[in-house]
Amino acid sequence: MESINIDNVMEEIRREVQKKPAYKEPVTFEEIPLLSQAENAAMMGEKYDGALLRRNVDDMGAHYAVPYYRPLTGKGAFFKRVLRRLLCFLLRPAMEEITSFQSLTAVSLNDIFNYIRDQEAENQRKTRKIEALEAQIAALEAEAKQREGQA
Amino acid sequence: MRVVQLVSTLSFGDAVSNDAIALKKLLAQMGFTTGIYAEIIDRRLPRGIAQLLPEMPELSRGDVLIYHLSIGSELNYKMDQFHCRKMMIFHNVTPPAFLAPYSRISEELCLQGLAGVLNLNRTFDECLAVSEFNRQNLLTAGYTCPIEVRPILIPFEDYDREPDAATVEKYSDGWTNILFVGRVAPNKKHEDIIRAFACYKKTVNPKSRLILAGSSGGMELYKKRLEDYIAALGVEDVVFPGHITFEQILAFYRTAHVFLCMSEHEGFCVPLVEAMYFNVPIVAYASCAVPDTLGGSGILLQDKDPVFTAAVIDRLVTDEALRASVLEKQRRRLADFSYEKVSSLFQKQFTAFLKKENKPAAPHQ
Repeated sequence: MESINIDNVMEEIRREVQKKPAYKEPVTFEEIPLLSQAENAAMMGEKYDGALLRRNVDDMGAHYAVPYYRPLTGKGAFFKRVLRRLLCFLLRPAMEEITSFQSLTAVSLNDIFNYIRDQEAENQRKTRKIEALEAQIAALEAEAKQREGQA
Repeated sequence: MRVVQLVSTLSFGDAVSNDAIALKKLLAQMGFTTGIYAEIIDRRLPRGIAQLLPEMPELSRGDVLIYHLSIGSELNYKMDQFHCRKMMIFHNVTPPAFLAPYSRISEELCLQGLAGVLNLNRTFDECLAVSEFNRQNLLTAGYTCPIEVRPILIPFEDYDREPDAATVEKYSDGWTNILFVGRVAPNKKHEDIIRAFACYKKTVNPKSRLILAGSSGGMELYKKRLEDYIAALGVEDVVFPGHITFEQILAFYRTAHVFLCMSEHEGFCVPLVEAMYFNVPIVAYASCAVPDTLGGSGILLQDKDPVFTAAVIDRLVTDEALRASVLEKQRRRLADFSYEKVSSLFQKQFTAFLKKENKPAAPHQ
């Protein structure tokens, strides 16, 4: 296969681009305001969103653990480390209990999600069955009416 | 002798975790008693694939600990407690500045990750960096132990599964699909991909769409800002598929015409190799480990000018000869990442590591 010199192609494209009329961007990314966590949460709707629930359940499954250890930076990091060591006897078991509780919550929510999914599938199956039965009833009624008419 | 891998968090589908899982299989094949231990294990992973850290057996001098470093963790300050031979696999740490506007926790974890990299610079007997870029980072951080480069181990047979038929059908409609796969994270610069796509769609090809496949968990503010940016640009057909199955990812690769990467921080960038595997021509901004991973294949951009990027995409889509040439180079590069080649490299490096005199690491400074 003929190997093409990419640098030459790039140079050619660059020359072509220079001849094109200027492209004006309506906005830059930096001009887009950044929402705070609270504003973002407030914008979320109240409608059930299965895909969002799946994502949140997955995120819970990945982040259920609350590590006792937290990065300590900035001013007074040394004192914060000393405090952490002093409070270790209290904080570590508390964090472990929280992790354990959250782990159970994540498992339970996953089960709930699976239940909802199964129920939705079952509802769809039943809806299809009802539609088929209704069509069958309509056909039978039409047939009965026709027979009555003939009689 | 036991060979134990240690990771802070074993997640579902991320490059670090996939590498650890692939290595576990390989180490078992090499005849070692092995296991993965983690502080946190994602519940979506199959049961038994790893154990929590408290279940880790006590290691003796003859054992080997392989530590995957990619983030801040208490483990970065506990390595001295393991009295065995130690090897680190360095996946790199996202520079905190990227994350600062969107997630204080992520920013701090990465700050701590970088501090951990410095803290551990005299702890390991040997390091494996997943790219030359990462190796240079370790040298800059003052690592004096031997550092070898070993790409991420990718079991490609996973990619031969059937792609999701509905997704393939939906996106095989004659439109041009531009794809990027990766977490929605600020270092990956989705805004620059969107910017280039907007120019391409408006000035070159209106029948085109952009697919940004990847989880946005923890980066909701960044994603919201991207969505607002898309609305302000007035550009349509930008798809965030959100939570998708592996089969859907395969479908996106199968239907993609160009893979566009504008990332400014990658320790390796597995999706580039995936694009090579699926014969999708790559256009990527030359930054961090991206040029190393591409190894002369794909098309590297030296700047992010949207007009130029759009023109490059157009040329790649319309010029059959150029496309074929790019794909040929990508196929040749892909051979360097074959499972056989990388596993054989790891076996060679690991065997050589085991043969080395069992010197204790220099005391921590």
